[in-house]
Amino acid sequence: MNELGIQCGYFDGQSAAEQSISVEFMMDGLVFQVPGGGLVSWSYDQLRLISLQRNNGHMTLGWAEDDAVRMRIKNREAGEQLFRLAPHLKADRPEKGVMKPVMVSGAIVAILAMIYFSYPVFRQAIIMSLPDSWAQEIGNTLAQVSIGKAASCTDPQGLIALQTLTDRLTKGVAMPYELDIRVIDAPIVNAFAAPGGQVVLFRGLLDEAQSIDEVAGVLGHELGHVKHRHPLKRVIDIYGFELLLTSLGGNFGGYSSMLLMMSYSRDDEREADETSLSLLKDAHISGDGYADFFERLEEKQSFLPDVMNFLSTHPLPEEREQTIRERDDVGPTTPALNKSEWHALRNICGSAGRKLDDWDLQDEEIINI
Amino acid sequence: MSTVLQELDAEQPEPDGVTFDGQGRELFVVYLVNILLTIVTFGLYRFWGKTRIRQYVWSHLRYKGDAFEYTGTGLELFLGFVIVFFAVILPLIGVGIWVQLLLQQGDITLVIVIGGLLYLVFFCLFPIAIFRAYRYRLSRTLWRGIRFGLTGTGRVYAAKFIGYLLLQIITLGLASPYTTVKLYEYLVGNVWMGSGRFSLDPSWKPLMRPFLMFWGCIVFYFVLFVAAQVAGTTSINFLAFPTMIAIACFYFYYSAAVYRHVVGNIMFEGVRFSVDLKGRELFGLFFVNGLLLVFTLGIAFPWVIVRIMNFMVDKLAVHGEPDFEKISQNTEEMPTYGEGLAEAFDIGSI
Ligand SMILES: [Zn+2]
Repeated sequence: MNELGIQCGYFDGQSAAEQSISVEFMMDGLVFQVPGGGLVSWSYDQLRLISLQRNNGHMTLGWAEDDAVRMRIKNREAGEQLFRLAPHLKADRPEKGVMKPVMVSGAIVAILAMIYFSYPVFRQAIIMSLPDSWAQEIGNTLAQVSIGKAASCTDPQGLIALQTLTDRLTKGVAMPYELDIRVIDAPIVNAFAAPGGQVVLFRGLLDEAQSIDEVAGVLGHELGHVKHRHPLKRVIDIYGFELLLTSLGGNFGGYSSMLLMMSYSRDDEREADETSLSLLKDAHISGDGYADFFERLEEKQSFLPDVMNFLSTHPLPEEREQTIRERDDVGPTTPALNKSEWHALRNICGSAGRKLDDWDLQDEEIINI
Repeated sequence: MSTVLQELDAEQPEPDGVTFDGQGRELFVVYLVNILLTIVTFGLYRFWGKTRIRQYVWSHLRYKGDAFEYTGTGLELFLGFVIVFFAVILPLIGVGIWVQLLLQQGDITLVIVIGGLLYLVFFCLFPIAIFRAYRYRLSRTLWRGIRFGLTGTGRVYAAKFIGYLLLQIITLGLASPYTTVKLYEYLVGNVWMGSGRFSLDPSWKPLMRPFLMFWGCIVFYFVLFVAAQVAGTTSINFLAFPTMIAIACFYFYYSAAVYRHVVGNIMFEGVRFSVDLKGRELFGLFFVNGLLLVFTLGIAFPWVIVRIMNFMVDKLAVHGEPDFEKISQNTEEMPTYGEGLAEAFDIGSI
């Protein structure tokens, strides 16, 4: 048998010395006599190409059964013969098998794109299947965080006026949740909607408003968020994003607070504005107050650099004002509340005629409406 | 069935010494695939990508025709990184944030103390990271199925590293040849190939002359600067640029001397090594590589690696041959995970 075999080098994994063996290329594997041992067969599918020498085609082989032993084929023709018998060895090099990783990348990109584009559908499904009580629970928690220690205003006349305004705006309009509208005693010019039908107006907004129609516009806007379940959408976005980051293996806990400040998308804001206008129209309330509000917001914000406006998730005030002013003619209108009701609403926190020195342009205030 | 081949088995000559037959073109394919997969996995693939690059480079580096082999895996590198991230990086970030808070509270003394300690920790971790990276790479390197290894500990290496640095500071840098050689002595003296151990003769005096030229230039530059300041004159400013050029020249001159000296004093089982390397050749290598990387925005990275490998192999000569019969398998314990710490410091791009 030895006369027929190919002379190869053998390294037994015990010493660095090369031993000479004679290898036969059988149908199913390489057969040779281990120096000082018996006859062994390295089947082709157990072979691993460790190195292929460019100039002379010599190759080093490993064997799956014993990770330390190596065989060296020092003969180009024998190497080519081996490639024919064990074609998988050809791809056994880092620079080979390019198609596979390229296809894997393509598949990953395709999956990510699918997730990205189908996400809104998933999100809608989640929103629809979540029990209202859960949404209210989440809303309570979030509202509590935003309000902090500030108290709800409870002047009975004021509460009646608020209820009157709400009833007028939502008359004949189906809301997904039972509404819970509150005024919080804090000098902030802001309002927000939380998941589950909660709407919070801050006292500063009432103090600053120059007419009841301005308040009606802002309330209509927040009711628009409620109607389209925007707050829940936003919460799911935030949790979904955190889930994604966590599943990628990183600890990104620190980002959550930053994300909590992330606002609605501009589309959501436009949708809420549209809803507000339609609520105002159906209630025969003029939209001019709402437009006036943005006109003044524009002045207050004009000192903000353009970059900030660009980064802001809200449409620009001037753009919003323009949209409102260009609305259809709504016919005859009456003020959202009569004078005494408006007076009562302003005093809901028991502090008549209090005026803010100036708007506090801090953090998320104002811009969040 | 092998009868056709029997007349072909006359042995073709093997190249002697150390050779490298990798190609930039092939390595570029590996590199490109790495970039692609790294992007779509948000950077996670880089550990596996690094492994493939090493597999390529190792398997084309040969001694006596037999290729080296890299047996590390991407998973080991990844786990090493995860461990270091949670055990070292995250706590350090925590302390950093704490210092920021203290700074806001105006507690300056505490900030200085903690900040100083933080730098000290970083400083001690750096040499440990280097040592561990070497240990991992060597333990994953095979030649003829025989494993390399690195004994010794990262702590001792770090202690020497820092001690020698202090010595350099005290001696205004004059101890540099001594400390350089001594640090290499510890590192090289702990390298094993199977049962065979490398060692380094710690002579350092021959390095003194090239070092003094480099050092002298720096001192001259410094004196020039001080003199100009004291005299309030700009008339000697024209000397500044030539002196800087001289410093750069002597830096490469000295670096080449260090390589020549250190490699020339390595011993392994009766084998000696030498590198025939001149300062300007070293400069040429770095200069061209730098240009390649800058003007191709890093795309030329694979060719840069191949250039470095070819350069080293071209300059390196092995004198004599060990008794391979006597070199048996390495029985040292292997590290389980790879290089997390070095990854954290961004040491070694391949
Ligand atoms: Zn809004």
